Order: sequence, then C-alpha cells, then structure tokens
Amino acid sequence: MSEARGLLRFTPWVISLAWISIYNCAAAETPPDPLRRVLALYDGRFSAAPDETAIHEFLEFPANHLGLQLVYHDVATGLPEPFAPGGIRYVATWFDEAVPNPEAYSAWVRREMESGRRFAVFSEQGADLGGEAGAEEMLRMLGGRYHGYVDATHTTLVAEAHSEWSNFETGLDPTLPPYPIIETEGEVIPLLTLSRGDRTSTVAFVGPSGSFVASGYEQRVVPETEASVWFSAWFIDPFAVLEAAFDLPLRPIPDTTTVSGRRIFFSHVDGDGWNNLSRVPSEDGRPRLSAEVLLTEILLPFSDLPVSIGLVGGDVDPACTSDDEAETLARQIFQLDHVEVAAHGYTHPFKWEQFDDVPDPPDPVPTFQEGARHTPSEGVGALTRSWLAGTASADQMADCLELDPHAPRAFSHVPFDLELEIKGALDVATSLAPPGKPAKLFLWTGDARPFEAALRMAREAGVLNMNGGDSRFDAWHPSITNLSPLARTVGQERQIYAPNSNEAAYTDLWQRDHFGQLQLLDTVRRTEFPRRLKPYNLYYHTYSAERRAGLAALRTLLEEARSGDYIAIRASEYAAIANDFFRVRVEPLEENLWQVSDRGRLQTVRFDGADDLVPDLARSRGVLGARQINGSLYIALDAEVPTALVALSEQPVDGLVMLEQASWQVRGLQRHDCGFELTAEGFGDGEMTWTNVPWESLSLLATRNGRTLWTGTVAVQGGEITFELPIKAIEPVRILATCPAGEE
Amino acid sequence: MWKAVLVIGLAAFGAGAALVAVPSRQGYAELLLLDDDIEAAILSARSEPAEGPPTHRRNFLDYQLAAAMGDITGAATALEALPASALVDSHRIAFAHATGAPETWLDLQLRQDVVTHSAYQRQEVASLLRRAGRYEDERAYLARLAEAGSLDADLALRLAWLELAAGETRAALVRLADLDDAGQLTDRQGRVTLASLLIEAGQGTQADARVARWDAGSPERAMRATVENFFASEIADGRNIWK
Repeated sequence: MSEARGLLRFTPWVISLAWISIYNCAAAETPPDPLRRVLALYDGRFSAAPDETAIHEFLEFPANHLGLQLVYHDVATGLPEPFAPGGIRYVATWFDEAVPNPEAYSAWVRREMESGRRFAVFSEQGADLGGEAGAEEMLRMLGGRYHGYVDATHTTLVAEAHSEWSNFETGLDPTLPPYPIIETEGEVIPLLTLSRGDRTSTVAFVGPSGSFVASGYEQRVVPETEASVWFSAWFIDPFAVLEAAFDLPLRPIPDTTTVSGRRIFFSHVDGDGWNNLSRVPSEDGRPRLSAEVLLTEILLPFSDLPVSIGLVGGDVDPACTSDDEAETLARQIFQLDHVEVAAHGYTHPFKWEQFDDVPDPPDPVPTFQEGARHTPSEGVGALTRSWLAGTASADQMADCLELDPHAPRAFSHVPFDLELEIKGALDVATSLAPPGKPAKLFLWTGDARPFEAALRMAREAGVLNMNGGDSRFDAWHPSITNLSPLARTVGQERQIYAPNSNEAAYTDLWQRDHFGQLQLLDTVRRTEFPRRLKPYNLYYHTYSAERRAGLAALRTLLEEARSGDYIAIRASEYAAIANDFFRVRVEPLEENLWQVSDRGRLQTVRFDGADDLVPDLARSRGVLGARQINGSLYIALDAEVPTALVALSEQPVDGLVMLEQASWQVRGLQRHDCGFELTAEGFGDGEMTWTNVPWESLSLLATRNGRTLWTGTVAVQGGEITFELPIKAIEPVRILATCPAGEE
Repeated sequence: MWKAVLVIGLAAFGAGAALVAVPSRQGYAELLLLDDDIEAAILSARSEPAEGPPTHRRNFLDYQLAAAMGDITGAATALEALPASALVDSHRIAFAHATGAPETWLDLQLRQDVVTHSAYQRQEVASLLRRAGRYEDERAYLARLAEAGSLDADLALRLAWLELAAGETRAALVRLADLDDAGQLTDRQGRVTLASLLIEAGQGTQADARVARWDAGSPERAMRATVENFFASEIADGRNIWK
C-alpha cells in the first residue's frame, strides 16, 4: 500500500457524534467506510424510529444491494454536522412534509451540495416549494426550477418517461398524483416529464448534485385506508436512480447472497410447537410430538442440508413438563452434525416493545399489561390449542402456557426477565447439545422487534441474532418494496433480518392452507433473476411438522435446495455475513484495482455491469475466482487473506486457475506450477468447477489431518474442470489437485 | 298376527334406516375431515377404493384429502373436475389464494354476483385489479357495485377517477358532485378536480359555491387560490372562471 493511501486510511474524519455512536454500535470494530455510507435523514416527529421510516421500508433494501449502508439522523433533533473530507458523502431523504426548521435545513442542504455531497431526494424535499425561503434554491442546485403546483391532473399527460429507469415494476396510475411544475436546467437526466397544455414539468430527474423524485412518482401506491398503504411498487428504478444520484463508480460491492460463486441456501427453525401433538403419527400409529416428526421426517432425510434449530426454553422447562420427551428430542436433534444450536427465547414474547424498560433486577411483569393487548404475530394459536389435544404432560404444560391468543408471551409461568429470555434460553439450548457445540444464534420471537437492551444482551452473550423482516416477493407481493433490508438499527445495536418469510405468513398464522409455504419458491425465483437480491432462506417453525401438508411443503422446498445451484451454509454464518456487510472496507487504489479489507465472514464482492470483465489475478491478492451471474461479476475471496486486492481486466491471466463455483466454502488456495491446493468445508457432496485450467487433467487427493479420504483423476475440458467429491466435509478437508507429470 | 307383522315391519324399517344412517366410508372420511382428523380420513377413504366414474362428491373429497396431504397438483386436478357452484368457487378462490394465483383469484371473484361481496371483499377485489393495472376491469367492477348500490365512498371516488381517465368526463363530474353533496368528498385533489370540471363545463357559479363552502370549512381557505392557479392562463386572458 502506498504512503498516500495509508494516510488516507487514517485521516481523522470529522463526523457528528451521532455517527460515531452508530459506528461504535452493532459490533462494528473498524472505522466507517465513507464510500459506502449514506446519511439517511428522517423526521422524528412522524417516525419514532429509523425502522418506521419510508427510507427503511423502501430505500434501504436497494441501497444495501448497491453495497450502501444507511446511517440514520433525525432532523427533528437538529441538523447533522457539515460534510468534511473523508466523511459520508451521500445523503438520502424521504419526507412527507417540511422538516421542523425548513429554512435552516435548506441552507444546510445547499452548503452540503456546494461541499460536494450528493443527495437522493424522494417525495417532499423537506422545505416547501413556493413557501420556505431557500427551498427553491435547493431544488435549483439539484437541477430544477420551480414554477408552481398542479392539483387537478385530469388534463395532464405523460410527455416522456426514461426508457430504462422508469416503469420499473409498474406504470403510473391513470390518475396522476398532484405534482410540482419543474423546469430542469443544466445537465440533467429527465426520468419523467409531464405535460399540461403547452407546459411541461419534469417531476423526476437526476441532476448535478443528485436526484429528485416528486411525491407520488417514486412508486405507484394502492392505499388501504387514507393512512395506510396496501400495495406499493416502484415506478422509477431505485437501483439505477441511486447509482446515478450518487454517481457511484464501478466498485466491488460486498455481497450477502453468494458464497463460492453459488447462491446461499440456509435454513432455520423457530422452536414453536415443539411439544405440539403432530397429526402425523408413526408408522405403527403411535402419536408423536412435532419435534419428533421434524426429526424423523425432515432432519434425518435431509442431513446434507444444514439447519439451525432455535429451541424455546419454556418447552423443556421441568416446571412445564412431566416427562423428559421434549428434552430428549432436543438432545437427539442437537446431536446431529448438520444441526446448529440456536435459541428462540425462554417464554417467547410476542411483542417485545411491551417488555422494554423492565427494571433490573427484574420485577415480575404482569401477564397482561393494561392497554397493551395486541394481536400475536405468529402461531400462538397452534402452539396453545394443539397442546390441549393431549400428550402425557399436556395438563402440566397448559399451566405454563398462555392460552389467550392475545397474551404477550407464550409462557407465563415465570416473570419476564430479559437475562432469562436471552442468555437463559441460550444456556438451555447449549446444555442440551453435545460438549463443544454451544448455541450460536438467537432467533427473535413474536413480532421480532427487539428493543436495544435485548439486542445488546444477545451480542454480549456472544451470539449473532436474526429474524424479522417479513420479506416476500411473489405473485401476491410483486414488488421489491416487500423485501427487507439486511438489518434494523436500534440505538447502537443491530438486528439482522431473516431474508425470507416463514410459513406463518403463508398460512394465515398456521390456521389454513398448511402447504402455503410452497409460495416461497416464487420469492426464491424472483430474488434470483434478473438480479440476485437475496439468498434462499427456508425459515419455518416446529409446528410445520404437525401436518402432512406442512411436511410436504418442506420436502419440496428442501429438494429445491438440494438440487439447485446453491451452497448450503449455517444460519449463523449468514447472520455473520450480513453483520459483516457493515464492516467491510473498500478502497480504490488505482484504475480497476481495489483493496477489500475487514471482511469478517463476508467473502464475496460483486461488480454490477461488468459482464465484459474478469479478475486480473496477476494484480489481485486473495481472489479465488469469479462467476458471471445476471450480468454481474461475483468475485470469491479467500478468507485466509485478510486484506484482499481485487483487480479487473478484460482477459484472464494465463495459467492461473479460478474457482467458478463450489458447493463448499473454499479458502487457503495455493496455486502451484503443477496444480493447486485448498481447504474446503461444507455440506453434502462437494461439487466444484474451476476455469482457466492450463493442464489436460488433474489428480485429486482429499485429506483430513493427513488421512486420505478420496482420490481421483478428472479430465480438463476447454480449460474447465468440474468434479464432485463424495465425502463429508462438515469438518474441513484439504484438497490437492496435481497435474500429470511433464505438464508443469 | 298383525302385531307380529308390525313388529317385523318396524324392525326391518329400523334396520334399513340404521343402514342409511351409517355413513359410507366416503361419508365417514368427510366427517373425519370436518373434525380435522386427517390421518383417519385418509385411512377411511383409502379403505374403500373408488368404483365407477368419479362423482362430484368423490372429487371434492379427493380435493380436500390432497390439499391436506400437501399434494397441490392432485388438489388442483380434483378441484378442476368439479362443476362451478358457489361452494366450489369459494374453495377455488381459497385454493388460488393459497397457491399464489392472484389472477385466478380475481377472475373467480369477478364471476360472482357482486351483491354477495362483503365490504372487505369489495376493497380487496378493487385494490387487486388496481394493482394489476387492470383499470378497465376495475372500472367495470366498480360500475357493477354502483348499479348494485354497494359502492363505498372511497370506491366511488376511485370510479370517478377511472371515468375521468377513460374520457367519461360527464359521469365523473356527476359522481364527484354526488360525493360532495353527501359530504364525502374530502380529498383535496378530488375537490380541485370537481371545481375544475365544473368550470370547464361552464358551471362556474356552481364551482364558486362549492369552493366557498370548502374554504369556509378550512382554516387555510386555500381552495379558491388553488383553483384560480389551475386556470391562471384563462384568468390572464381576462376570463371570469366563476361564471
């Protein structure tokens, strides 16, 4: 690294205290990467927290996809610090109306634009055009001049819409929303121009300092009521508009969907319904608990696919069970190599907010809080009602369970205690696992909206956390507006969202259509093409094993994972990848050369629009290989090289093999004159494809701790070699590929 | 003698009636399904192989069993074999919902008599048509609701917008005016549009009266200025838009 770059890296950035606190949060250990950060401004008078904003709901997902991470600032608490060299250079806003101090705000915006900050302005710009001083000047710096407002749009027509960046998911409604009359000036890319008589108005455009999209022209919305939205879909292309607004260059984008060139598959199970009597008896007609059915019908037949099981502590609490069947099942399940141990709460809160600010040491919390009743968000009905169907200890369990569907927790035999809820649940799960196999993940229960102290406790317990998000992108939800971003920021903590919805979302909280999760396949398809937007996450509850229809759906979904082009990883690994997305630093070094560091578990970077480029391995370091997917170049990085250099060129370097794809995670690659070697681990048989192979064949040797596991010889065809290793690699294996003698 | 005959007759009748009352295996499976005892229902249905051509009743049972087993293809086939009826359609609608087929769901809903649609159902159908961009179908559906006297105020406003977009200006004007007369036109865009349509139709006096009423009920009193802004060029040409 050059001295200049070293200096750049340690430039003391002048940033606001709010940003420093965010940076310190969420296990971020490295300075924020200003090239990837976007200051997201919201008005706390209308949105109490960042996750209640339109930015979080609509903009954060596409921003994350572009490698950007949002840092929220509430303008109701004051304006952010001014831009300084090396600081955050991008700003996104999405206001419903003018901010508390619009004149000062517009002056701040103008100063920031002059300093070089770029703005993506959606909806209202924060200061009323035609009203507050400076508002029109603010628009002018974006590239538009304000000339008034049109409320009655029945005589307005669409004059011109950008051929690529508009009509993204939907066209406009025949009734156009009211709009400002804006004349663009200077170098502006119009996205949508309307006309009324001989007057035109460009209501969406990208200009010299960023982008502007007038309210109602970002998305087409179908309202549910005056205050709520039933459906929304993007009219403009948010990916393209954000790229253009921020003038983003070709860059390696930290990617959370892909490992070793393959799309990630992972699965996790919330333990709800562990003790439910399944409607699927054993072959000899013996009634079985859902946990047993899960074990025998799903976990054992699909032992080549990892799954993380989140046990609910209450389900194995001796105070609630008169026999040890539930505990025995937990032990049997956690003993399986492909099962990762996780916890899903102790008393399973349904609405976390209700348990915030509980005094420490914990006081008893009444089972029902006055005025705080709510609708449970997942299968509490199934959980409780099925218990009454009868098992050996049903009566005893019924005493522990809350049978009222509006209860705040599933179990109410102990007072709410945050430490018991999180650390206690993790300890219980760990205690039922084999030695050396601790719980690795905490899976949020109920509404999956934990408060800051809960998130902190999970982090301090040394585990990652996940759940929430409720992403769907299918025939019923045909828009990426239904896809959640990677995470939710709560104070100084971070919650990782599950990438997909669970069966409760498809079955009306497990009340009907128990095969409904088959619709997940639609989401899986739509989030793969034309962009790979999410991994494939199979997320369900133990109560799916209550019914044949649920089991049939799971088998189909697991077969897709088994037969498709996926790499199966553990849920905690995905959570780590998503969490490390916020740590990764990308620094441009010279043309088509970047340094990628602080990656943690995230080992894939993506170049969009790079379908004519390949890695330049002569200038790169720590690059395993690359694969073109949907016009993007996915680069697999070597976890054993902490600071990778990624260089691109138009031609591959002769003689340096590249990993195209593998069903196992690959690291420690060493390229030799006559072959290569690597370490790999994963689930199922190991399939790999390597390209740019200069030899005619390769002899393969797979070993673990010096012991030979498998050998074979594979022919190279057209510089490409594909092979399958029929061995288990949950424990890492070393693979040596050697060319025939004389081919060095 | 006659007593013996009576007793034998009654006994025979009772036995016959009992035989009739005992459900067949198929009927037993149906009862078990009603009781959500899927396993027993499957066993019962399988214990009596179907004979002869499939009946609607048998197809319906097959549909229910296939759905309970998670056999989507089998359920779809069995459901398809059933003739249209209110009951069957309700199952088709539920099946379309559960299998991610909103277009089928919509078409089935549109096939029904709109009088049977609940307020929630009306909103759902209209919203889904709107989401799908099937504006002509949406307009036709809302017009059917209007004819049936089941058009809620927000849907009536939506129908007015669709009529306006379709060039049915007169119908839209009447609908907006009716909504306003009923005190249900609170939407700002709707009010400005109504005033504009009235002025464009040469009914400036009526527009004037309505705008005065709206402004009287609003602290901003901004509607008159908004409408005049809309007709800025006409006013600049010297036209009195309020006549």
